[in-house]
Amino acid sequence: MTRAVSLQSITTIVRGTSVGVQLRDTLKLANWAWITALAALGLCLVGVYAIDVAEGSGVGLAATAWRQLVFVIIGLLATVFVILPHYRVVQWFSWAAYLACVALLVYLLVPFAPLVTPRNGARAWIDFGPADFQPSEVTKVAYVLVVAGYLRFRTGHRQLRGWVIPGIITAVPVGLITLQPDLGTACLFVPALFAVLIAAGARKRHLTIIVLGAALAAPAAYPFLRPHQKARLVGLAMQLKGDQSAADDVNYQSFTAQTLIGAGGITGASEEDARALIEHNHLPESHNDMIFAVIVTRFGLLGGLGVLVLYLVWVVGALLTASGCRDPAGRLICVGLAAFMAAQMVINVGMNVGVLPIIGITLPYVSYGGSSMLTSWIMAGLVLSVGLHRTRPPFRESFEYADTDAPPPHIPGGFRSVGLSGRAVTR
Amino acid sequence: MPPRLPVQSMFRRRLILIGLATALAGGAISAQLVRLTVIEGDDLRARAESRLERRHWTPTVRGKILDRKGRVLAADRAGYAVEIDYDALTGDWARSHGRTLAYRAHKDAWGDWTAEQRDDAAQPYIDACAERLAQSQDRLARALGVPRAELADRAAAIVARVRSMKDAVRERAEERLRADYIARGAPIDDAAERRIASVASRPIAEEQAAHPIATGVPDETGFELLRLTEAKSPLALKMPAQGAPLVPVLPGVRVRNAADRIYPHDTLNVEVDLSTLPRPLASGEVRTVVVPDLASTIVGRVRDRVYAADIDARAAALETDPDLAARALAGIGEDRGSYLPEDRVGHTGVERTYEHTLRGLRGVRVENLATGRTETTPADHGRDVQLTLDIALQARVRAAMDPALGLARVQDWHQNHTLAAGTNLYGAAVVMAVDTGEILAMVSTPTTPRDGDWSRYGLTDDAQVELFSDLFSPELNKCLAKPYPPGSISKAMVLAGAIERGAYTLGERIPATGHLLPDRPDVFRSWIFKTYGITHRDQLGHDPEAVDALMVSANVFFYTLGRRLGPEGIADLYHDYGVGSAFDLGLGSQWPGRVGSLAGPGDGSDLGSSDAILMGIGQGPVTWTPLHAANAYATLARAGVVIEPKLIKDNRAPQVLRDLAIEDDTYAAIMEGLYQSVHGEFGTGVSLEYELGAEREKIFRVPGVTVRGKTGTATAPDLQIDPDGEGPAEPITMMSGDHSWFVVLVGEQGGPARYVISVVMDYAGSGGRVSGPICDQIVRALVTEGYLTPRPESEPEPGFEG
Repeated sequence: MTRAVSLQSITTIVRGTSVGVQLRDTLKLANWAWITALAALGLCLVGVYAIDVAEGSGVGLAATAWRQLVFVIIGLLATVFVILPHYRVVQWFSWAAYLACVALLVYLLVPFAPLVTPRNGARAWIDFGPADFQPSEVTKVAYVLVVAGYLRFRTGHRQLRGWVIPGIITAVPVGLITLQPDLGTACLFVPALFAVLIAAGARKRHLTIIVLGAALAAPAAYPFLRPHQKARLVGLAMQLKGDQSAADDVNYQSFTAQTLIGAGGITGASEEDARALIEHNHLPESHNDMIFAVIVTRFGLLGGLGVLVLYLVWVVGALLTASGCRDPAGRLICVGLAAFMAAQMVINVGMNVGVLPIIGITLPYVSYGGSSMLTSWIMAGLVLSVGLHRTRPPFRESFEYADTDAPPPHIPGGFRSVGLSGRAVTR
Repeated sequence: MPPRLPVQSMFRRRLILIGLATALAGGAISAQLVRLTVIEGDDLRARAESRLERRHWTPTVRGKILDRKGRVLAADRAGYAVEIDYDALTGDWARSHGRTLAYRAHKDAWGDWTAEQRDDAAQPYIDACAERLAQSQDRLARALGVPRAELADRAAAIVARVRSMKDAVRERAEERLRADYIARGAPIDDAAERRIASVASRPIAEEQAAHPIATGVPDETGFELLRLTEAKSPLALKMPAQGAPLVPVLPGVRVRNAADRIYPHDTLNVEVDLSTLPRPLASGEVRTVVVPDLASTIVGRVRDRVYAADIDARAAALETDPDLAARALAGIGEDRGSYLPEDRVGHTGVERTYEHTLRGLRGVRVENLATGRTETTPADHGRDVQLTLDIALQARVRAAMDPALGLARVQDWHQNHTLAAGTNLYGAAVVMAVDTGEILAMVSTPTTPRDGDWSRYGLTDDAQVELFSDLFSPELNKCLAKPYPPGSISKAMVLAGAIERGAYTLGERIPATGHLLPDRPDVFRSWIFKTYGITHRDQLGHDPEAVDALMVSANVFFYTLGRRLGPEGIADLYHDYGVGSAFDLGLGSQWPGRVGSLAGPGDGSDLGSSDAILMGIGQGPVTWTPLHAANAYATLARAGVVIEPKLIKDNRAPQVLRDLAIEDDTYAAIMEGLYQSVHGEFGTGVSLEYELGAEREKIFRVPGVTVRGKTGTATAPDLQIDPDGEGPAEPITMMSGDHSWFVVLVGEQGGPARYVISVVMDYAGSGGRVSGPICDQIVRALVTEGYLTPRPESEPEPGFEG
């Protein structure tokens, strides 16, 4: 009996249901999520090599690259850990994970908190001795699970007021991460929220109103920025105008990255030349935030575009997985993770090529760093989990609304919202 | 009914939208990626690769300036200056560099450490760097051959000086910032005080610069130190360390090529035989006259500061001179002669004009940091510039014009009615070769002392120097740049021009009436009528024709020629002889000469008939320079062939500008007139009378040479100063009277004129009495320096030869 219960529990965790069905009925082995995983793996390999180019001497793999390889393996193990249970099981713990993350983010801000040492002026890491832990990275995953869980059966977001609760869920981690300060990571939550809301059927005009409002209000936020953040914005403006007078000052990092990217040309420099160029041009954070510049130096435009294509494959894989998923939560998880991935890639590469300010954000799978690698593989694992685990019937079409808000022919009166964030009447 | 959409599911349409947005963002950054790698790829690659190169410049040598006989007038004297960065002098380098090394050694953990942990980790490195600094100072002291304590004293003195400057700068900045706060009505609270202190405490330039601790370091030491400044050795850490970091052997030490620019012939001693002077000054002695700043206004000087204009001029020179560009860009494709902050730049004179010729091209050793390969382009020394000047002759001319000798000091027999006896006289003299137009000597007095020592002029303070400079313009090369009225020396040209233009026929006698206008004895007078109340008819016994007129400098004769020539003719005549044209000597500021008023067009079209009359005797609205005068007389001596005067000896044939084609009989008459002027019974430049009734003494007494010449006593505007600028006080007249001119053509006895000498002494009065004896000394100088070989007196003097 004990053994039977135990097996049943395991089956429940893996299949998301306790009903005795065949494994092939619960797992869908042929799915688009694999291309996301393959893209991630490709990016990891590129990343390890690029870190070696940036940090190594060319004799053997650099110590940093070895460590990154270990992070990749840990990430892969984490992926296995994430895909084994049904994502719904994972989602059971979403609020708990979210609250735990928020608690950790608050802890980071507590003055003199043990194990918290400011690094580069930011209170973003908890020092666990052999490894550091960056709560804001894991918060991204918990956040996606919570928002997906919140929106999966709701229609309130079709109204503007229905944005309030998702907005609050977003604002809490964003605010705490901004206070660290880690503006780069904080910036990622907004496109993720927008993407999830759009996918969940939010009206585009509401999104437009909010984006325009934010754009108009943005200048008012300028006085509240820290001096180095203001300097970077001013530096970006100078850069976009072609003013190179700050090339040795506030724009040094961006200017050097652009120089090395240009030096890569179309096909890149030889490994020896690339190592020399990177070393003697003194590119800051070459193994981390500016790793994309290293890749283009080595592999040129073609290599750079190849990396962008791998990210596009990752995102498209996640979106196709969402498209093939019949569970609303699974759909939104994939969309949210894809949005995080796309936003992080665009911001990182954008600052490498000089069209966005330097805000200290890693390139997922490629930049050196354990927390980033782990989180990125958990994200890939979740997409794989959504792709692998079939949705239990009965199905319904979620997030399907008429653009005109005309009542669907089969539901008199259309969808109605109940309360602040009412549930869909068809549940 | 709404149109049927290709994708029925809203969710999938939204996924497509999200996918497209991602692709769009990716496309935008891809476009920038293409721009950087394809469009700007080559430039950025070059920029990135330039960081792989470390360039080591090797100094060059500025070209020499030589006189016509190869004597060095300006040259570089090799030497080095040893400088030390301020932070190495103060010891701050040990702290900052030690901390940097500690960071590099513990890069991974540094971010996690507390301030105390970082300090602890940095301390061994700081100690080791401090020890390296001390070793460096020992090594430096040994190399320079000075005691260690003396080197430390020098360093301490520099630090004390910079700190004192910093204190002064900070105090001034604090005062200014506080005044700003008060002016803005802002409260000066604690935050403001912190802000003021922060701004005022910013490092001053001297804190970020290297300071010379030894100059004039000889080559051998300089080379040794240069080698050591590039060397690194492991830091002696007193702790177990993996691979001690490499640190410069002489941290913060720089060895700079600091060759001095020397002017070996700037001051010369000239022996003057006093027996050759006019009788009142003569004695049996030989006096040594020290002549300083001999050619300083010509050779010029250099400065050690580069201005933006120098950089612009260099760029322009590279554009206009393909040969220079090819040499300068050889090697690294960049101008090896480009200016670095403390480069030496020609500031005045030939040093400035021939800057790009004299300036050498640095050598460069390019080290590729990636491969370790080096490519070396050797330095090209600057090219020498040879002048036509003879510095020894220049010295003799300068000595003759030295007031200490007496000729350039007001004497009783000068009969100067405006300046007291003993007053120093200043002026200009030019010696030019007739055949080539080469300038052999060009002296202008007084001259700004190259060493800044004005005491040789008896000036003891800045106010005196300022007044002296206002009065005598010592920075000006008067030979080229000061406008003078030509006075009577222009009469020879007026005669030639009048004959050529048909305004006068040789043999015609023009009535010497004492004044041109019969009813106006107060204007257009003859000098003899004005002074003695007689006419040249009274003097000669007949009215003068051309030769007589030149001999006695008959004003009415030349007024008449001026009237006959009219404004247009007289203007053309002066233009023929170079008035209105600057010479292509490349010496910067020049007075081109001018016909007509300063406010007029300068072409003579504003002249009236009275002007033409006055210009007949070299007065009125016409000005030129001593060089114009010399060149005009050289043109006469060449029978009208005008050639460009030369100051640079470049082996090119003289450049003929035009030929005035003076007829033989005209030429002969003029030469005879000039001869009679200095030898004839009534010549104005024949002899000096020191006391009334005493025996006269000939001005030109050099045997075996033929001197022809013309005096000029040119009315000059008063020299005034305004004591209170534009204030109410009236300007004070400091000097007035006439400028003293004498122009001489000289050659071996019976031979053609070979050299022309032009002398003008400011406000000195009579041309014959003041400038004449100076000309005589210059003729003697030409003989002494071998330019003239006097024929034995027994040889009969042949007639004139063209």
